[in-house]
Order: sequence, then structure tokens, then C-alpha cells
Amino acid sequence: MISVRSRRAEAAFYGLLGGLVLALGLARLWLGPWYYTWNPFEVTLLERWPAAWEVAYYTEQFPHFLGAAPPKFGVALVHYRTFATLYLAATLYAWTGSAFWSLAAVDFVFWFLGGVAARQLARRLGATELTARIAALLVVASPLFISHFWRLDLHAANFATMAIGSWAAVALIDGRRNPVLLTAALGALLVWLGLNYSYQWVLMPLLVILCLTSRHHGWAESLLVPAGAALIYLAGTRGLELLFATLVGPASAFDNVASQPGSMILERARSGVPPREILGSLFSPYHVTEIARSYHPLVLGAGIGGALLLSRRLAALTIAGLGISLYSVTSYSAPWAATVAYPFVYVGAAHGCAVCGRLFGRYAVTAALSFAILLMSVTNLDLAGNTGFLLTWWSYFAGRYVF
Amino acid sequence: MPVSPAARLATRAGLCAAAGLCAAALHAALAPLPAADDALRVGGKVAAGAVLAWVAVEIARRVAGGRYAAFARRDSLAPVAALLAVSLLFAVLFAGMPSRMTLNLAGFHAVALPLAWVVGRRAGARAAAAAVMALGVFGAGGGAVNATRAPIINDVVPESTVKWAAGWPTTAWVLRHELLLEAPLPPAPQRLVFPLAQPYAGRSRVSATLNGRDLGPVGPMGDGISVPIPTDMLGLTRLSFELRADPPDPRLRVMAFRYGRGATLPGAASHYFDGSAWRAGTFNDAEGRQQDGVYIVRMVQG
Repeated sequence: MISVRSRRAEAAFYGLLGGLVLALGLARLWLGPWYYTWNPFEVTLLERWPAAWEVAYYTEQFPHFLGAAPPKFGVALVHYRTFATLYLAATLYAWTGSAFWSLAAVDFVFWFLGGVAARQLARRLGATELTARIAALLVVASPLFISHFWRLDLHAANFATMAIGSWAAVALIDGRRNPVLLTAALGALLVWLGLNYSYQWVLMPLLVILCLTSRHHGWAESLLVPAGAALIYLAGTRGLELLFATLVGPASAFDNVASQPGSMILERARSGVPPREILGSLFSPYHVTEIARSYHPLVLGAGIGGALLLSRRLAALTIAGLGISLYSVTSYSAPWAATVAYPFVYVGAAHGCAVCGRLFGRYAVTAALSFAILLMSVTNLDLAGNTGFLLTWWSYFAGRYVF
Repeated sequence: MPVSPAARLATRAGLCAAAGLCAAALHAALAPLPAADDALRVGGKVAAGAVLAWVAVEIARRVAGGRYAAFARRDSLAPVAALLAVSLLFAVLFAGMPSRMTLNLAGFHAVALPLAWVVGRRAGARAAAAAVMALGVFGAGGGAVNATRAPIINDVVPESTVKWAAGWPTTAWVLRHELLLEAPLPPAPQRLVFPLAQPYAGRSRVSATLNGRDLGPVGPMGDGISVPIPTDMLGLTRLSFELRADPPDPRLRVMAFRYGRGATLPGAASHYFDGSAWRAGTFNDAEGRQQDGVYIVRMVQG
């Protein structure tokens, strides 16, 4: 059992984390959400508050969750991939009567949970308590979450599921020795990730690394367990799609507004592009710069350095994750595709802060926290009126809007 | 003096009930057209919400404080029983509505299963079952409503402090928007488009000047006002667009919004002339007040 003192310290830390999430989010509602600061053309109003026009994809589903009338359309991919959070937002809407605050509350809660999961992940990857807490702070202060906040398309909530899913995968792999049960549990995790965005495609190859670097699984098991989990994912997802198509209806509306990474990978493989060309595009200066600028070069540098110093496991996860990021941005240029490996990069960056802090002897903790604050600040300068990072971040998605 | 668990439970239940009563009283006092059943519904929701929040805090405390390696054997089926009980409740609540039942059951399980796992591995099976039941009560709350239409999404709302409309109340009125470019525009036809707050088919016409040069009538056409940039001005880096409407028509309005920090002239891109002086920001003519912000514009090629 944990002592009362450490429980209070933990509660205080989570209070701080929650407070930081609220402060970062509400400050942007006042000063200017990232997305609308970049592109005012896309802002619409939901209950007089800002919302991206895509919010209609989700609010149009509310009467289907909460109404007695037959649905006008079924569950398209754009709904499926955010189904769990959509259910929570729709139910909260029934309680509060406010669609705007219901969607925002779900985004807030998952943003916070992303930080909590990052801390737990860091501990499981061998980080100290200080490093784990810094990792949580870096994750909640990252550009990934605030970039989509107040768009209300539930992406902020969805983005947290990479940290949650990574933590769950490590907990399952390090905690379960029975390969059949582990395969089933990881398959269920991948299905759940599919209901909360698209990170299952990122996690699938990382499961092999996690198994290989765990003490419990040999080579054969490390390949067979993730392969089995992937099959369970494919079967489970197909089953759910059939269930929705049969009992809810065909997804006639909004059917072509989202793409599944799996089908994009297949399409690319079928297109016959020579591997040399794909490799060439992977290491083009544009895509490497896109990844560096999506994190901020200082954060990415600290992340890679810290990951290499912490453990071979984190180093392998970070390098593989960045490789997946490079592949992702060559098919879909967007900073959130460039940062799909963020939990590992931020755990590495947190360790980098702690290592640098140790250079300051008795002031190690203060120095580590100062480095962490520096890393958090460089991507949040818009709070002080400097929108340069914000505008560059979004411009990797669709250029710069002149207004 | 130690407090018995029963007394603690009674106190907290009383606090939740009191929160509900206060909410009902506040609603009755503040609502423009107070109705007893509305106040009761609000009070009931707040009381139930307080109970759920209390359960959530209790579970979070147990999750943070405990490190159970596995469920105690005698309790290990409790979360499964809770899942089945809530599923049965949903089946009854949504009987005769197969699509609603499917969506709510799938949504509930998509949240309840990971929740039960996370809570159970740290706080034990009973806490996991309690979490599932609390989520079930939360989900069942959705069964009490019958939403017939989706929430309304608007382009502009006059009272909004985020996005509103700005027009030309008088003939002398002028809207100005300035761009300060880092580099000249590419040497291809370019237009600055001011989207309209609502489609317009009246007889008012808008004329424009760019850096003082008269460009003549520029719309409205379709759902916007489109100001072409003369080829010989594409090399300039400071562009000042001024729009006048004649005759003034309250149905002809462009859109304005609050967050102008991303503009090429942050916080100073938009102005208006009210017949006597130039003023910073925009004028929300429907509400009759100045509002800080910028006109929504878009640079379009072609």
C-alpha cells in the first residue's frame, strides 16, 4: 500500500496537471484557439462559441444516441474512429443540455488522462518518479492537444489515446505471461484504439518491440502475439462495422470524410511506387523538418537524447516511432501525423531534463524542472503574443492563410 | 470522535440532495419563465451528477492508493455482473429502438470495459464494479431524453463575442482591412474575398479602393465580395482595402471575428470609418457596438 504522504503528493501532482490542462485550454478560448488563429475562415458557432465546421459530423449523431426516431444515417469511419468519446459527449449533452461544453469536457478529460498515462508509461519504461512527472507535464503542454482544442471535433481527446494505449500495451506485455491471454488482451486494446482514432496502426509494429524488450517473451512469441492481436483487431473491427451497418444503418452521410491508415498503406503498396522512391521521400529535408518543427527542434533533440540515455527499450520505441512518423507524413502531411510517437519522445525529453538537471548537483530537481518549463514554453509562446510557432505548426497541414 | 461509515454515507447523500435542491431553487429564481417541473428536473440532474462525481472521486482515491495484483476471488465476477446488469437496463430502456440500443450499448462497453480493467487492477473488483455501475447510471441518464434534432451550428450570431456580422449603417461608412506581407504576392491573379454573413440579393453595391486607388464595384457576387488586386500592385507588401456600400442595406454584411492574432497585422488589421473618424476593430451593427477583432477575409488565386 502507498503511504498517506505519497498519496497526498500524488493527488497534489494530479491537481497540478489538471489545473495546467484547464489553464492552457481556457487561456486559448480567451486569447485565440490555435486553429482559428491560423484559419479564421473555418470557424463556426455552436451555442455562440467557436467550433470547427467539422463539428457537424458529430453533433448530427447526437439525436441518434439520444432520440427515439430512426437514424438518418449510420456510423461512418469518421464516427467509428471516435466512437467512445462521441458516446460520452452525447450522453453528457443529455445531462447538461450544452453541446459545446459537453464536447469540450470530454476533450479536457482525455487531455488530462493523456498526461496521467504518460506518467504511468514513463514509470513502466524505467524512468524515475521525477522524470515520469515531467513527462506528464510535457505531454499536456505539447502542441498536439492545444492545436485542436476548441475545434470540438474530439481530436484532442483522440490524441490522448496514443499515450493511454502505449501505457496499456506495456502494462499488458510486462504483466501477462500467458501468450493466448496476452494476444486476446492486445487484440482488444487495438480494437479499442480503433474506436478512439487510428493509433492502432502505430502501435501494431511497436508491440513487437515491446514484446522483444520485455523479459517474458522470446523471439517467436514476440512476433506471433502481435500478429495474433492484429488478426483479432481486424476481425473485431469488421464485426463491429457489420453490427453498426445491420442495426444502425448504412453510413451514407459523411462516408468519405476520413481515411483509415490501413487502407492508405495498402493503396500505397498497390500503387507500385519503387521502394527506393519511398525511402527517398522518407528522408527528404521537408519531412524531417516537418517532424522537428511539429515537436519543436529543442523538444525533439531532448527527446531523442533522453530516450537513448534512458534505456534500449525506450530508444528502440522512439526510433521506430519516428520512423513510423516519417512514413506517415509522406502520405498525409500534418503535424499530428508527424507526432504519432509523442509519448516516447516526451518520456525521452523528460529524461533529458532530469539528466541535464543532475549536472547542477544539489539543485538537480530545480534545474530539471527549469529545463522542463523551457521545453513547455517554446511551444506555448502564443500565450505571450508570439504566434510564430503556432502558425508554422498549422502551415504544415495546409500552408499559411493570409489575412 | 470517529465517524461511522453509515453516518459518513448519510452526510454525503445529504450534501448531494442539498446540491440538487439548491440548483432547483436557483433555477426557479433565475429562469425567465420558471416552471416547477423544469426546476425539479434540473435539481434531479444536479443531485445525480453530485452522486456520480462523489463516486468518481472515491474510485479515483482507491485507484491512486491501492496496488492489487489481482481481483480477490470472491469478488472477481462483480464487474462482469455489473456489465450485465447495465446492459440489461439499457435493453429495457431502449426496447423497440434497435439503433439507439446498439449505439448506446456499444458506446457504454467501449468505455466500461477499459474502465473496469484500469480500476480493477489497482483498486480491486468491487471498485471496478462500482465504476461500471456509475457509468451505467450516467449512460441511463441519456435514456431520459428524446432529442429530435441536432444542435444548431451558425455562421454568425449577432450577440456572439466570437463571430458576428459587420455592415455599412450609412453611406459614409467604410470598412478597411490591411495586409502587411512578408514578401510580395506571386505574380498571378489574386483576389481578397470577404465572405458575406448571409446570402444577399438586394440592390446595394460595394465599391473598393486599394491603397487609395479606386477599383470600382466589387460585388456582392454569390456569397462574397471579391476584390481583385491589380497586376501592377502585386509587388507591394502593404495592401489597404477599403469597402463602401451604396445604398446602405442592413441585410448586406460581412463576417468578423474575435481572434485576430494570426493576421498579418495582429490586432490592427481591421478598422471602420463611421462618418466622423476611423476606429480600430469592427462595428457589430446589429448590436450597435464596436467589437475588437478582424473581418474574415481570404486571399484567393485566380
